[in-house]
Amino acid sequence: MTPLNRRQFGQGLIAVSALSAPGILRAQSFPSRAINYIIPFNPGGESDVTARFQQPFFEAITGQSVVIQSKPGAGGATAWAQLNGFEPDGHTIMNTIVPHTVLQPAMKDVGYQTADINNVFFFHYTPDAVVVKADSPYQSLQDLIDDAKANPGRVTFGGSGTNTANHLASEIFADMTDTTTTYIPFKGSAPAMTAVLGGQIAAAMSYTTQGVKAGEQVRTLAVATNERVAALPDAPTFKELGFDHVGGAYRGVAVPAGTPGDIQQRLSDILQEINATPDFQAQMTAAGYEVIDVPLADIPAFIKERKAAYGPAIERLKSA
Amino acid sequence: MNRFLHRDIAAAAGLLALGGYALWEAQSMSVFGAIFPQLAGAGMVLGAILLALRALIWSPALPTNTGTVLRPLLMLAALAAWAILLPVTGFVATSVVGAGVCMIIAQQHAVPFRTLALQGAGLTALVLLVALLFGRLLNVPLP
Amino acid sequence: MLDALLSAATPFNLMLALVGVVLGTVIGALPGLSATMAVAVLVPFTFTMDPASGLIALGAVYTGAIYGGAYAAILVNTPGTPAAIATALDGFPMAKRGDGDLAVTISCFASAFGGMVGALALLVVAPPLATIALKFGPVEYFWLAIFGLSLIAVLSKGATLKGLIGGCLGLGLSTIGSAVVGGDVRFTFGNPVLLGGIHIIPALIGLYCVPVLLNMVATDDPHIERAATGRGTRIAEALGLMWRSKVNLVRSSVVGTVVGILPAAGGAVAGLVAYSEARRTSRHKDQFGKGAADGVIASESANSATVGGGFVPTLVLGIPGTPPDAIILGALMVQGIRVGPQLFVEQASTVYTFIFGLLFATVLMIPVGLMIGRTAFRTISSIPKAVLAPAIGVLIMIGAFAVEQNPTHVVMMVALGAMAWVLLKFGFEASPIVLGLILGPIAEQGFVQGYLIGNASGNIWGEFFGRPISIAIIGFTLLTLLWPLWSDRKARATQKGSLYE
Repeated sequence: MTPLNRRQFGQGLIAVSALSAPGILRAQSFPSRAINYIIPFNPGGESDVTARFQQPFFEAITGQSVVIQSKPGAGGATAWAQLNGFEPDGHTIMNTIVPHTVLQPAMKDVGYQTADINNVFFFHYTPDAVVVKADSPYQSLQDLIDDAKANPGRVTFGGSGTNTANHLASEIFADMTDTTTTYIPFKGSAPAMTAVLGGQIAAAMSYTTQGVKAGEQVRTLAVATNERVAALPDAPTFKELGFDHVGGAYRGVAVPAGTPGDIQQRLSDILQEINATPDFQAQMTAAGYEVIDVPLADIPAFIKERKAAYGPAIERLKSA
Repeated sequence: MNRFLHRDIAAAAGLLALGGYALWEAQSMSVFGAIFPQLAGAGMVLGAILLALRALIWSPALPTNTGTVLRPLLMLAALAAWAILLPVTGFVATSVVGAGVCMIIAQQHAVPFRTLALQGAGLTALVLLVALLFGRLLNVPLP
Repeated sequence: MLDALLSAATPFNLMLALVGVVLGTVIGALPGLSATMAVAVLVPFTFTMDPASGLIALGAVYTGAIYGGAYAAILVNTPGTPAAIATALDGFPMAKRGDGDLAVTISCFASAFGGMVGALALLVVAPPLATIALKFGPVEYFWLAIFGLSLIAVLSKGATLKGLIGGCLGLGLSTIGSAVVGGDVRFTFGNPVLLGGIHIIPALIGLYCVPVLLNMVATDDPHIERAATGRGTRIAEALGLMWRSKVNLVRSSVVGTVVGILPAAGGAVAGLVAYSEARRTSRHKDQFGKGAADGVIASESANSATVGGGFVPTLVLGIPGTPPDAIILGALMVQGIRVGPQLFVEQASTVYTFIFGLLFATVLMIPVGLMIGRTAFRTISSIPKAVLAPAIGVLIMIGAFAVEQNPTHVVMMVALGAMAWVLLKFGFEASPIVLGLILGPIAEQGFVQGYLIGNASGNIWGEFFGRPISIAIIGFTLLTLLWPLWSDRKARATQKGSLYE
C-alpha cells in the first residue's frame, strides 16, 4: 500500500478508534478551548493557506475556534525545534512538512531530530513540479533533459534554499535523468518563480501550486503524482514520461511530545473528517494540492518509507 | 587626555575580537555560506585597525555625553528584567510592575504621591488597554 | 470602471476605508508596531466580507499603518516600522526644535500625495509596470543593496569610518541564522530561535527605541519642544513648503512606486533611496539631518507610494511586492481569487473597486492624519517624561512580542538595544547597523545567485556588469558616493571666490 491511497483504510480506522477507549471521555471533551495552530512559515505561504482552508471545517466539527499563528524562520526549523516545549494537551498543534523534518536534522544541527516530531496526521502533499516560462524553448521535459545532457551544468534550476525539499528534488531529478544541472537557492519558492518569470533562470524545481498560481505565464513540464493533477491537466506526470518519481512536500500536523494518545487519535480523526469534506477537497484540488490521508496509526510506516526514498539523495547532498 | 586611553581604543579592541571571531567561525562554513561572514569580519578587523590608528595619531574629539549614566543603566536593568520575566509572570503583571519601576526611575524630581499615583494609574490603564486590544480583539495569545 | 467607482463609494466600503485608515494609523503610530503586523492580525476579520470589501479594509489598514509610522519617527525618534527610518533622520530634529506639529502635517500631506501616485499607477498602468518586477534579477538586487549600503557614507557625515564599521556590524548580524545560500547554520550558539536569524522588527525596536528610551531618562530636558500655543496644525505653512519642493515630492513618489514594485525591496529602501536623492539634488545639503522639511517629504511620499506600487506585482503577477502584500495575497487565495494577468479581466470589478477604495482611503488619510497627528503631537509634547518613558516601554514589549508571539524576541530586542546604547556612547549611530541588517541578506543572496547563474552560463563578469539595469544602478551608486566630493569642492571654490570679492 502506498501512502497515497490510504483513504479507505483510514476511514475504517475511525470506526475502530471510536470503540477502543480508556480515555474516551477526555477525548470526547477535547478540544475544550481554542486551538493554537502554529505555522512555521510566513503568512500567505502554502502552509498558511492550507491551514486556513482547514480552519472553518475544524471549527465546525469541534465547535472551538482555531487561532492560526505564524512562527517562521530557517525553513520551519525554528518552530519545529520549539515544538516539544509547548503544553502537551492537544490544544497547541503545529504544521509539519516531510521531507523538511527528515532532511534538516540530517544535514545540520537544527535543534531537533526527525524522531522529535510527533505527527498525528498528514493531510495533503504538494507535488513536485518542473516549471518553465511560457516562452521557454523547452516545450517538453525531454527538451530540457537534452539541453542538460548536451551542456552539463548550463541548465539552471531555481528552488527554495540550500539543503531543502526543492534542492533534494533537483538532486533526485539529476540522478534519475542522469544529467548535471546548476541549482540556484532562493529565499522561498515564490522568489524562485519570480526569477523564472523574469528569465533569469531556466526552470524552477517547484510545486504544482506555483504552476497553478502563475497560470498562463508558465508551462509545467512534469508533475510528481500518480495521476495528472486536476488543476494542471496539460502537465504530464513523471511516470508518463518514464521516470519513477512521485512525491513533494507532505504536510501534516504534529503535537508536543507527551500529548495523551487518545487526544492524538481524536486530532487525527478530526483532520481525517476535514479531509473527507467535499468542499475542502474542492478548494485544495483547485489550487493544485493533492489530498491524502495518513492517519496516526500509519505514521511510523509512512516516515520510514519516505526516509528510505530520500536516503541516497541526502547522502549525495551531504557529500557535495 | 592620554591618547592610549582614548575611548576608541576600547571600541577597536572589541571590534577586533568580534571580527576575529566571525572570521574564525567562517572557516568551517561552506564556500557560499562563508562569503558574507568573512566580508563582515574582515570589515570589522580593518575598521578596528583604522580606528585604533586614528585614535593614536590624531586622537579625535569624541561626542560628549550629557546627563547621568546611572538612570539609563537602571532603566536598562528594568527593561531586561521585564523582558526575561514576561513569559514567566504573564504580560499584564510584568508590564504593570515594569512600567511602574520605569516610571520611578524616570522621575527627575521628587514628586507628590498624588502625581505618582495618577501616573501609575494611567500606565496601568495603558497596559490593560494594550492587553485587551491584542489578547482579546486581535487574538494574539499573550503569555 | 464607473461601476467600480460607484461600488467602492458605497457607505459600507467607505466606512471600511475610514475605519481601516484610523486603525492602521493608530497601530502604525505606536512605536514598535509595524504595517506588516497590522495587516497580519487583521486578515482573519476580512474573511467574512466579500473580496473587494476585504481588500479595501486591508489596503486602508496598510496605508494608514505606513503613514502612522511617521508619528513615532518624528515625535519620539523611534521608527518602529522599517518604512519610517528615513523619516526620523529629519523629522525628529524638526520636533526637537519645536516644529513637530509642522513635521507631522507635512508628513500627512506628503504621504497622501505619495499614496495617490502609487494608487493611480496601479489604476492606470499596472500590467506594463509589473514587468519591472521581472526585470530585477538576482544581480540587480545585489546592486540595489550595494546602492543602499552606499547611503551609509552619505548618512554618517563626519563619522564615515564609524558608519562603515556600523555597516559591517549590521552585515554580521544579518548573517546570523540558517543561511538561504549554502545552507550553513551560522552564529546561532545552539539557540533554535536564532536559527531563523535576527528578526528585523524586534531588531529595529531594539536598535532605535531602546537608546532613545535610555537617553530620555538621562537628562531633565524636555523630550521635544512644546507647541507654541495658537498655531493650529500649520496647514498653510506645510502646503507652502510642499509647493516649493514639488520636484522632490513627485520624484520621491515615483521612486516609491517603482521600489514598491520590486518584490525584495520595500518601504525602508524606498524611503532611504528617495531621501538620498533629495539630499543629493538639494541646494541646502547641509540642512539634511538637522531638520530639513525636504527629508521628511521625500521619505514619507516614497514610503506611502510603495503601497500602490507593491500591489502592482501582487495583483498582476501574483508576486507580493512588499511583506504586507504577501499576507494580503494569502488572504486572496483563501477567498478563492486567483491572481495573475487574467485577474484584471476575470475579476475586473473586484480589482477596480479595490483600487478606487484604496484611493478613497488615501484621501481620507488627510483629515484622519491631521487629527490624529495633532493629538499625538500635543500628547507627546505635554506628557511628562516619567510617563512617556514607561509607556514606550510597554509598547516596545508588546511590539517585539506580537511579531511572532515569541518571548525570545523581546529579550533579543532589549539585548540589541543595550548594544546600540553602548555603541552610541562610542559614537556609533544605529542607522548604518540597521542598513547592514536589512540590506545584507538581499546583497548576499543576489551575489551568490548571480555568481551561480553567471558560472552556469560561463560569463560571470557579463552577469554582474553587463546588464542595463545593473549598469544604471552602479552609475547611481557612484554618483551618490562621488557627488558630495565634487559639490564640496565647488562650494569651497565659490566660498573662496566670495572672499576676494
